[in-house]
Amino acid sequence: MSDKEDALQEIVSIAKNNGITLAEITRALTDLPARAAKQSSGILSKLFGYLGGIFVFAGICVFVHMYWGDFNSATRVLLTLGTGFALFIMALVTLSDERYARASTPLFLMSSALQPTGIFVMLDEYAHGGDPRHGTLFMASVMLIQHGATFWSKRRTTLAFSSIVFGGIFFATLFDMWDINEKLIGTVIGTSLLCIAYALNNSRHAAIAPFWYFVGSVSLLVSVYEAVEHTSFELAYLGIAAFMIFLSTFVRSRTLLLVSTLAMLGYIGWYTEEHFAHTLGWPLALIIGGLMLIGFGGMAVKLNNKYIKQQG
Amino acid sequence: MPLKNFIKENFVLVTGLALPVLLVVLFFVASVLPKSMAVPPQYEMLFTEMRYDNQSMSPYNVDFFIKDGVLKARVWENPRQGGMVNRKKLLAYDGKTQSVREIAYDVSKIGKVPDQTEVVLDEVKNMKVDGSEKAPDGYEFENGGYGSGGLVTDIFGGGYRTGMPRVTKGAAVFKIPNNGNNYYGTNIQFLGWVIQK
Repeated sequence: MSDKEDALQEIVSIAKNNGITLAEITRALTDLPARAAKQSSGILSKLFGYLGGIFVFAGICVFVHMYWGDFNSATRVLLTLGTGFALFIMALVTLSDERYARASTPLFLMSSALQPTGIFVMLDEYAHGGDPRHGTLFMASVMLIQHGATFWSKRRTTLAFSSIVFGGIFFATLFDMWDINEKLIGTVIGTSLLCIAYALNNSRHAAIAPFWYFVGSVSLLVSVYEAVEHTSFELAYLGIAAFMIFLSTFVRSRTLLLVSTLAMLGYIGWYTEEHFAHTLGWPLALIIGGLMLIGFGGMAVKLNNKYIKQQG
Repeated sequence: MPLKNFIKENFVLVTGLALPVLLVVLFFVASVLPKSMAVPPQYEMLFTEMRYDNQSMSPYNVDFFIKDGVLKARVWENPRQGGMVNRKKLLAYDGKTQSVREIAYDVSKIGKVPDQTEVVLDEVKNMKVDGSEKAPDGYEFENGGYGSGGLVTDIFGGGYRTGMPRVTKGAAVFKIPNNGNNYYGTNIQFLGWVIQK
């Protein structure tokens, strides 16, 4: 497939996920100068929005840090959890007015940092004893419910991201408390994140899909490797890495392709070191095998173009 | 059928969300159910925990062991009396109430004895203890490991887990509660099962 065809497929996918019509694309293409001016003002407003958010957040943190020792328990909770919750409400309010909608992302991000901190401060001040992981579980549950429900209603990408983070914290903590095998945790959460990333990639939240493809694939591959290392199923890892490369072409993810390629190269390197450290035949066999695979790939494309595609 | 349509249209997403939930269900079936259906351990389990004492007034250091069904203590002089020493705390886990109690002992009462003397302390003199690994009701002690919680736990804010010691029989697992104690690795030593108090 050529670069142009790739680009067209991506345009179709973006248009489909964001509900953009052909007429809107045509209008945007014929009105390029006006759109460029609008884009530059948009970037500027975004830039000031983010800078403003960082300054406000830094100000709150410095203030809280300076007087932390002087505050009583209630004040500490109010300053962290209270501020976080107020920022969350403000973010929701900004979503209802198009003029302030851009402020919602920094507000949601600040509240996502302050509210969990506030919950931990509250538990530290008022709860004693027990397993600290219960506190993490409580925080993750509250935040997951809050962000998940808001995402369901508002469909914001920031909320999709934070919901996945808090969901991940919730399940990782729960499984850790139950002493479930860490390789099983990695395999299940890794596969789950890959599925979620696929769904994100085919939605208007595609911007965060590469990050979750990365986390999911690394978790899955590392866990599977640890599970099969030095067992009779060890070579299955190579098959899984190859399957992930196939998956990356199917779901059109460069991140997945990079991770699975590195995984396969790493495994081949490790396997060579373990079994064929000083055997000249092994690297030669790899090179010949690789060239044959490239040859087969080319032949498959030719066959596809000549017989399958034409018939279709 | 909006739900059916949603699942059909978002099958991959639903699978992704369902996987961790499925693991929770599987864990429940494989672990919680067998525990709730099993008869809890009927015999108290004796064990010791090493406790750092920064002002020990004990005249002897103590090591516990089981001999001929009796809990005995091997004692030797504490050269750092009033200073910092590691002291063995004697504990009993009751599976019926799932609680741990400390058996306090006083070695100052034994008087002057040579090092490595084996004594039976007053606090446990009536106790009959089975030192086998497996209790008469089939339960066994299993020490908790100390290691990484795995990559996912590391990514999502976890870290090193200290697996709690437990008493197990088949799929039934009873964790020994950690009431502010410090059970990990070699810090805890299994002694035996109390047949008679």
